[in-house]
Amino acid sequence: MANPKDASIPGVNDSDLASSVLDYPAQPLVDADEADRFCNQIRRLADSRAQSNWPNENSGDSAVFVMVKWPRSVREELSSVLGSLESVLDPQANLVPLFGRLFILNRDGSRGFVASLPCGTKDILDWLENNGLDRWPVAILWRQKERITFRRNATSDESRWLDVRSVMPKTTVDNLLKALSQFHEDRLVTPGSCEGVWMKGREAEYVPSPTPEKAIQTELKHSLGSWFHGSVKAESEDKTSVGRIDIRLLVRDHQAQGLRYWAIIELKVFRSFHHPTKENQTPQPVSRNKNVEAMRNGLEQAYAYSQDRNLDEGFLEIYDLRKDKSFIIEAQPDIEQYLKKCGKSIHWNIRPLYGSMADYRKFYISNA
Amino acid sequence: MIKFPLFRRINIYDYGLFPGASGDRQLIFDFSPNVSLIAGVNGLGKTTLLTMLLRSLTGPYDLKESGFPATLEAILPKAPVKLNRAALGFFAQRVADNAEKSRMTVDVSFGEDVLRVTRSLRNMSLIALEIDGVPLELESNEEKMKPKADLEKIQENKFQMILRDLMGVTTFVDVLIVLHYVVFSMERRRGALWDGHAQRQLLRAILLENDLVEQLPVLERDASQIDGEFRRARAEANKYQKELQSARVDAQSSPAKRAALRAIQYALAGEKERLEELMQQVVELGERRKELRQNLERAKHSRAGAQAVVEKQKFDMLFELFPTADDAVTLTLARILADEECLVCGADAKKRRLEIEQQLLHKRCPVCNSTFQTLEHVVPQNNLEANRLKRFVKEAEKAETEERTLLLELSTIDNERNIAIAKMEELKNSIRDKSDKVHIYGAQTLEPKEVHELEKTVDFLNNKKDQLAADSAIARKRLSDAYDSARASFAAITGGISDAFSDAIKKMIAEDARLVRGQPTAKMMQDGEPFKVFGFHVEMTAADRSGKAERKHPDDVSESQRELVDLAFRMALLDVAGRGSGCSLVMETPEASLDAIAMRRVGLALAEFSNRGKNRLIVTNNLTNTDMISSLFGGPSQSVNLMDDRCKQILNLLEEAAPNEAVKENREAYRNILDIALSGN
Amino acid sequence: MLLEAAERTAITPIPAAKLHAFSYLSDVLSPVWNLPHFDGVVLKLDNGPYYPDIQRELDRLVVRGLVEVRKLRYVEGTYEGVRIDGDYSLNFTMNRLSPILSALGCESPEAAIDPRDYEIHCFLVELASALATIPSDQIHIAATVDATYANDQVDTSNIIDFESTNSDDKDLNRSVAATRRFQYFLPEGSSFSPGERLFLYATYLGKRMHG
Repeated sequence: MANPKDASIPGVNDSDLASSVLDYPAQPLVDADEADRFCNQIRRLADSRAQSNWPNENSGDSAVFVMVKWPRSVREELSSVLGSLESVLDPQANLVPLFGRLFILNRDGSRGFVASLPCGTKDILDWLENNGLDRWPVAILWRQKERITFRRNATSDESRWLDVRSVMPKTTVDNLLKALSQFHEDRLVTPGSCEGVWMKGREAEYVPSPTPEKAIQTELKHSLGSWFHGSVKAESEDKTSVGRIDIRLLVRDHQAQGLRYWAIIELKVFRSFHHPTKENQTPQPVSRNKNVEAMRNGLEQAYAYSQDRNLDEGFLEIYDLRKDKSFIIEAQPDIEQYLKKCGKSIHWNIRPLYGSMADYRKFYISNA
Repeated sequence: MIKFPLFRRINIYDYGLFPGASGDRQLIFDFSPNVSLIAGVNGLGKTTLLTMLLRSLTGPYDLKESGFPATLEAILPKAPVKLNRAALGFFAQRVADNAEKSRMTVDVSFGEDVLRVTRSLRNMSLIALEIDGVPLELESNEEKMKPKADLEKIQENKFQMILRDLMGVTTFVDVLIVLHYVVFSMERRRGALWDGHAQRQLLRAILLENDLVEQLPVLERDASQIDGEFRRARAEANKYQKELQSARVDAQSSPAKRAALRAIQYALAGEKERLEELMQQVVELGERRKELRQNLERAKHSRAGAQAVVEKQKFDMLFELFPTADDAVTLTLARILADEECLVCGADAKKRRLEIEQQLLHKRCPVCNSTFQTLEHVVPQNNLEANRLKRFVKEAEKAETEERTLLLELSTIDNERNIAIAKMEELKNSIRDKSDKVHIYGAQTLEPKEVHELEKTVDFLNNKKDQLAADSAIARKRLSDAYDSARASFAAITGGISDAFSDAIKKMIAEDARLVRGQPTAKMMQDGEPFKVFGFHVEMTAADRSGKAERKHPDDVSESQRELVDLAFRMALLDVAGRGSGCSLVMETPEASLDAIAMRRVGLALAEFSNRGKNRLIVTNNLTNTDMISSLFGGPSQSVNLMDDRCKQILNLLEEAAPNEAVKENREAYRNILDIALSGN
Repeated sequence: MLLEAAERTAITPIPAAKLHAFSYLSDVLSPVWNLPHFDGVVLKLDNGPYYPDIQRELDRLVVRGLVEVRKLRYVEGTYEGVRIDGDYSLNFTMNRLSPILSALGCESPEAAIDPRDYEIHCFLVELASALATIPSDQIHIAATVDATYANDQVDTSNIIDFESTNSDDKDLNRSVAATRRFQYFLPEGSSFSPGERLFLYATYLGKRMHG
């Protein structure tokens, strides 16, 4: 918190700075890529509307939001097709109706233009493609389903589903665990939703990328930032040289006039293979001990960090990228021993990742 | 709050220059609660009389031994300085009897308290002192036994403390500053607004309200003193260093080695000196660069502002002629017409300007040359503006030249600075190499005892020098921190002064002027960067410029502007610092540099000042420029009663002073001049 | 580049006063992005910053068709004479616009003539995004409450020189100092990225503007 020793800045009120910091969780995901940043902003908009029971809406069940580079340029191009487009300024604050409309917005979803939907929602992707908007991220908000479908671009096969929340999840351990589980289910359990986890083209062989932890870390940071938007600052620190990666979550602390740690999440991966140095090389296997060691280190670090930052509980997320997941690592003697010592204060989970849909169906769905 | 002095009465006894109208060797004058005029031709003692008022309060002390300095030095004296023999004899030397028995009594009030001070005119020493009618004992019985000189010192010291407390400042040195820079405006003295050090000290003394008032001069003195000690120590260390070098050369075994070592030492000394010079040069170039960058930015604004005035006229005219033309086209044409700049290709389009002007004159389109119909008034109306436009065109050209010159100079300075920095690095390396070589010579030779002794001395002196350098840095930092806080307090209290200044100045001069808080610096030590201090400067319009320009230097304005701006500054300061408790402004021939119209305007402004609250005004007039006199009393009048009243406000030296030859010959004529001046008819 | 960033944020057409304010804030805040100052010096005016050079460049771009201006007008200047005003935006109908913007670094470091311009562009876009959060789009007022511009030790009509040649002179650029100070409201080990600092600073400006 504010260091009284450090001289404050003349003419700048510390309390103004502190209250700006308290407003931090309302910022966009500034460090995410533009598509994720946009997606989060649309979710923020949808959540806030759902929470006030969709004000100012008449009819329509869906709204389409497209992020473009230069909204004004697109307006000029579309005006011959759509007629005149209205300006939109801060739709979150200004409660413009959403449903039945197509929004052309900047990457923060804060400014742009709106017109009536030119076609049915099911045809909108084709319409966007036909009108030269196929390169841009698109989010479709569904009122009845209370969901958002998000595509990085209109022609992408991949889409992501996000829940619209009429009640925002509070910053509780249960909710955090739910968010972690959801992230795993949505983004990691099958290949393709999170780039950089697997070696491209060799997912089915369970060959990881050189830094799967890093890819997961970045995605998880933004995902948690988005999940708890408005109340949490999610940040990450990578110290990959020693294999340590963590995610830190901070919440407002009005008393101390700033942010404080809420939770620290250690990330580890189990794997069957090392990343091969050459493209078609047979990957070197990873020993069982190495994975055991990873879990032990993870537990130790999660414990040490939570103690260090005065937190009651720590979190360890282990992503299991092994082809054969039958060896029960948590049942190994020194892990068991460690779990007895500090397990109560550490929430740990081993989350399986599958290199193919077939394996996913075979091992995950059937077990579920 | 500062309580400025209000002069109420002066009694002068037995002083040859002022025998009094009745010839009883006594001059008594009660100053008017508004305007008092001391009238008399040259040589009758106007300045002497004003100096009496001043010396009644300063006694035989001032800021310098010769009296009040023309400009204030960077560092204030620690205590008031005793005047030298010549200055002490100011009154004595004007009369035949050496003013042996002459004395003056001055009544002056500070708020509710009335001080009556009686001084000898022979040497300005204190004779008696009363506060609110109660005589004060200035010395104890024990002190009375002390030698005369010591006793006088004790008495003056007590007087100074009393005056300091009455005025509400922290030292008697500050009393002197207030007297010189607020109360008394004597001819040919540069006012505080035009003297950076004086302004800083004055503003500190009367505006700052915390410990800084006292601290700043102390810190300034400390920093300057340590800096002096450091420079002396450095010189001493250098002297012994040279001796050591010679001794080392002498210790070398062969003439060849001696010559070689001497050559290296010589080169080394030269390089070290050059390095110091370069370091100083880099600092100076940095300062100059900063200044140029700032001037350049101003010049750009002046140029753009003036150009746009012209361009607007052209644009409006073109818009009226071709209302449907695209803005970009109109802008292109307007720019060519106004600045001869082609926005399309950037070229100088002088020729095209003339062509377009011809086309427009002949009602032809400047793009396709076809004739067009227009309302007749469009072009002539713009002709009306021609004179005004010419001025702006000139102004824009001037600013553009200035901008180009500044740009060029800036790039030269940048270049020089970079070269100097590179050279510095080179020299540092070379000095390191040469020092190593010198060491090698030393290590290879068995040096005699004297060399070792000298080495010890040099080490000792170098340590002392380094210690002083460190102390000096600490003292500078303390001073600079104190000024940081002072600037912050200053910024918070100065709005009122700028407003009061604007009120005062607009009554006195035609130009638009305002007082701006600047970013002044003050050089208080020989080496190193100047300190960022606080202060004001004036911005004023001028006949040949389009906007307001900074007037920081007294030469930037005319003599009369300089004086009037200073007067407005004084008025503003005493309004704010005195919170309306009033002040006597004592001015010597305020009309000296003014023309007749300005005299009347300033006279009325001064009259208004003297009628406001408890303010009083004491001015002298030498009866050569009398236009101001009636204005000072509120303007021309025929009323006999009013004339009587006005007469009471005049200390008429034609009657009261010992007449000189001119008066003896022309007394009636001068009386007439004064009468006419008083009525203003 | 300023206008391109403004287009991305959809704050165009942008009045000249706002564009100059945006320009000033980008200059004073450039160290947040580890960039050197563009000018490092500005004339303090009651109505906010104004750069004659930028205006001149804008005029040229208008005439060359790369920039569109609406409501072109001349307004009374606060320092000297008058100044030109208008609402500015990029002219997307101009075919040459895209390649020029690419060459200026608005797309990728590879396409830029000077790859460093890409970094500058990223900074400008982030700053524009941050400023777009200021209530009622009062960017020109935001500049006047900026910590460096509002420094009450510098009166209007004075030059503010915030380019520091001396590392001790931290008082020169109070805006950057303020963005650094956000850090003190975080627990140890946590930090703000440059982009986050810009958004926080925009929030701070918003608070200063609206009490």
